[in-house]
Amino acid sequence: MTKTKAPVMKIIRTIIMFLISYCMLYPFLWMVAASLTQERQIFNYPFKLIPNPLNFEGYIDVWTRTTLGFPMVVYFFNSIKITAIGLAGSILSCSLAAYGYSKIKFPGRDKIFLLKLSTMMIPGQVLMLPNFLIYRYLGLVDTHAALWLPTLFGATFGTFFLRQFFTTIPMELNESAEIDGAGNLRIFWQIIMPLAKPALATLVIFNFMGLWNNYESPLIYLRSPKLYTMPLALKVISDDKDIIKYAGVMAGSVSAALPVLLVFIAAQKYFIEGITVTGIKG
Amino acid sequence: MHKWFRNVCSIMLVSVMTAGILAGCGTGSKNSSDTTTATTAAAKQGETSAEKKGIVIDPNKKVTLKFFSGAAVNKTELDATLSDFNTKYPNITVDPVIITGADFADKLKTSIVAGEQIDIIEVGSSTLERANAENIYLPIDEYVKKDGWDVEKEYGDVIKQYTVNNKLYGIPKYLAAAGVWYNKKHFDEMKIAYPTADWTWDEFFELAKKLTVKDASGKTTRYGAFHWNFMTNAVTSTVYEVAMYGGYQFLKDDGSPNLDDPKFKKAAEYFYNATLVDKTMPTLAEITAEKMHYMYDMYKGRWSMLVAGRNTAMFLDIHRMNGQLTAEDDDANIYAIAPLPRWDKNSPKKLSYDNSVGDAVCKNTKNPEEAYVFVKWHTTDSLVLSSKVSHRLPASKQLDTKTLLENWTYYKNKDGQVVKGKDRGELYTAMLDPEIKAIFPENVAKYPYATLLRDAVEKNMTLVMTGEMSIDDAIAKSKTDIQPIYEKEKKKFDEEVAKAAK
Amino acid sequence: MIIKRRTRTIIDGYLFILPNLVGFLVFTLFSVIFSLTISFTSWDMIKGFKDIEFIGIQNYIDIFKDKWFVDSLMNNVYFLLFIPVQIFLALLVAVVLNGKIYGSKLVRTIFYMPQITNVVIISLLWSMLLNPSKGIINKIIMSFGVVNPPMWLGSTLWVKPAIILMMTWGGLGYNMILYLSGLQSIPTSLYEAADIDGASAFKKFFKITIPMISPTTFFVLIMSIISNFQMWSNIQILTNGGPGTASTVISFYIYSQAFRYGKMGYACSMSWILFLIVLVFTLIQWRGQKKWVNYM
Repeated sequence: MTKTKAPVMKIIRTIIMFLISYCMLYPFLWMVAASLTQERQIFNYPFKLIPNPLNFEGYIDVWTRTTLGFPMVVYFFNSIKITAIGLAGSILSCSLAAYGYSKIKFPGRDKIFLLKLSTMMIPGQVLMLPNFLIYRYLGLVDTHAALWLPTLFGATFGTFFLRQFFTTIPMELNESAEIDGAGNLRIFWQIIMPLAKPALATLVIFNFMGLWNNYESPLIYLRSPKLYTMPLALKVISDDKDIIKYAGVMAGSVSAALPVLLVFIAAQKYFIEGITVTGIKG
Repeated sequence: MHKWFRNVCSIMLVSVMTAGILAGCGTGSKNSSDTTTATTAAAKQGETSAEKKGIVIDPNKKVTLKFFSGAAVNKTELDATLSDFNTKYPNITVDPVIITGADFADKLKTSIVAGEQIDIIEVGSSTLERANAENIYLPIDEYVKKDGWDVEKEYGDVIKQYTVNNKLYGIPKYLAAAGVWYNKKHFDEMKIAYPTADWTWDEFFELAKKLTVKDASGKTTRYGAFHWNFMTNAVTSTVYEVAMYGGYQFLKDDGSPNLDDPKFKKAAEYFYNATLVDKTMPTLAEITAEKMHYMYDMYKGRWSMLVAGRNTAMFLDIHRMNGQLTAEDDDANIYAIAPLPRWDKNSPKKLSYDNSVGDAVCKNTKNPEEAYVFVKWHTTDSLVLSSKVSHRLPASKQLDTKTLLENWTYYKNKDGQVVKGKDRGELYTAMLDPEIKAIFPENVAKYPYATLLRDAVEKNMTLVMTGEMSIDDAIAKSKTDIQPIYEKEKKKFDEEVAKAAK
Repeated sequence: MIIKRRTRTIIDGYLFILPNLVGFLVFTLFSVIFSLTISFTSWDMIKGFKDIEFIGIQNYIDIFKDKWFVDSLMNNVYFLLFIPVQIFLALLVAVVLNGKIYGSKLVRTIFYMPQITNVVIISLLWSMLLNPSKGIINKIIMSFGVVNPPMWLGSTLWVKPAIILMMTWGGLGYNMILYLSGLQSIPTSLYEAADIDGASAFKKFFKITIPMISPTTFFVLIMSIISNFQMWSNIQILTNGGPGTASTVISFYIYSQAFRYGKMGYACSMSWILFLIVLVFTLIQWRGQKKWVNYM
């Protein structure tokens, strides 16, 4: 009896969820459609999700014509550059620190780690202003370094995340490698890192999203339009009331959202694993 | 999984490398171009510096100036004219940095604090940071004097807008002169006579009521009026601007706050009633939510009268090309300019609050002389040279108006060609009306702390325009809020004056 | 020999955490001390250090007289009140998804999409959807015969609901995924036992799922509260805090006071008040959790 009931319920649940999903997805569908719609039709009602005629003017506008003095390609490459350097930096620094906190015993280790962990509570605003002054002192305001330098110091979250993973790797591995005469750096690089691939993959995706979507740091640290990253460029372009074109702004938005979306779909498994791992251990 | 991870890693590596190469290319090419121009610089500079007996620029010193500007049109202008500057000063490279959007002032200030290279700043009479002038701009009196440039003769009263504590902090370039735009079609439909120079602000707001169209439920479908300054959410300055037509000053002559003056309250009431009671003007909130644009939405027929720059007349060709202004409306000449209303029947006619925009030299500059030379060229020669592609009402009285008027009939189209536009004689005549007398909040210019007081008042006035506070409460609250700031700053100001007198 | 090895291990240990330690000392510890010191001064960023003046706790007194700060705080509280609703929605969705549906992977991806999209894009998108006269949302409302649809971002009354709508849409996926993993850790034997007792689905949800999922709920709640107090970029892009004080929040007010008006001293003292508030909220939650959170 239950066997005949289950599919009916399952179908009903499926229908409900797909209806809600459609509502969740609608803003995105609208965005894509609007980016391909003629300027005059964007606010038409009922809105056609399949634009007729298709209009690529928005994409041509943002990608080839210069906005703020530069075409969007420049902003796109800036974003790629920051994301790439930031990713390399954060993965390396977090894993190094995580190894230190989990695999080497030295005095004060756990205290330092706890202190570091407790700083996660401090709101960003407390640190925002002094940090700005430090960057100013270092002469890094209006440089890309201001955006990727912090990744070299091992973010608390990433370090914590990897440390938790490293502690699940048995210490015996370290011990036997040490007997073979391997130093910590070699153990780290040749034994632990290969084993930590799933966790590293999760962190890569996390940081990719974070770096690519970062809006607040560029807003505070960047000035020259030639250094702008995609999110900041989009905001400024949409602000400029003299050149604002909805199709163009939406085309820019689609262009900025697409890379993350593709990465997310390709790497969904790791990503969701990552969230659930951190979620439970919080 | 492993394969996937390897892919991610290789993508990362490749992108790091690409980024590195890109960065390398950038700096490499810059260096090489620097050296080539340096040699020609020395050769050419000899002749030009001889003509200029005032400021002498070292022709062998290779200099790059950074020009910070909030308007994209400056880029269009400089693209057309920088070659002229470079023939005159081959050793000076100018790098325009355009920061558009609402954050221009914030970004600029933090950059200056950060000690970045900024040499020239585009600055307006209403955006000049008077309270912090010495921390942001470099006084240029010395250079003007050395150069033998009679700026009073060239600019008249307008130059006063850039003087703080008797120091000159900028040179005006063009005027953002006020006017009232109106839609003739709407006036005709309602059988209302077009405004004349006799009208008063009372009549303006009465007319706005008549011109407003509401639907059956009482919701406004077409507004009677709009004030461009509302687009920037600046309430206090909009209010005291209108009161100025009645001779009001935000600060009294002795520098004390002047919020008790009934004219300030009256002007605030005009806007409060129009936006929140009569709904003849869009509220601040509606402007933000709908992203309204003073001119583009006027072209869409969303309001019938608009207080905004009369120099917008020179942008109509561009607006038509970009499609904001339809060819049909433009050919029917439905948009016209009227002088601003006067305060009441006894006040003078044709007063106009004329802002100006110009250039200042940044305090951070390491090359003040080069920066000064650029500012002088940019506010005079460049303005004329670029007049076919960027239309600006000059602040200088000594430029060749005939050439300008002729050149303003051209504009740069989408393909980058300079083409002839529509004949707008009537609008241009209204724009250049010689009877118009410019007014300016002189005490705001005289007492640099005025902007600090204005910002404190603004916190309360904004709440008036959202109906959260009554006008009386806002004025009372503002008075208590600004008193300590006033006392502290006035004391400092008096000390400065005393020090200067010695 | 043994001592030598021990020293080497210690050096190794510190070397491994060195970047981490430097970052902590410079960017966290120094900043914390600096910001605390500055909060007792009248420092104006633009004027530099020459005009700096020590004013004791004046900033902290002024804060509570500042209508804008108090209103910002109240707005944060307003947004807080909707967190339970947002969390409950996420739990509901997770439960339905967990009950196995066709295409659950696709649905999961769709729900998570807002979370991976840039705040600028989301804000731009929603400001267009919420445009009072042209936006699709009001067009739909009007097609149901409503003559005066809400002004959304242009109304003191509707701006907060509009932002909540946007935030609920944006945060649903994240919370849902946390719940999904929590649900999978509930032993199925509990439900089987309930089935034998003939418990209804409704009863199972309230008597088994909700208590058993409480550790996840606790985590989601803490995270939501912290992010509530930290949000500002969406506000900055959407409304700039307006109309009036209707949508300004503490973090945004701090940002604007610091970077727009240069009032660093005042902004720092506000950040410390913010820190205390977050701390108090977290402590209350921590204490309270014993009463309702079940750890297995």
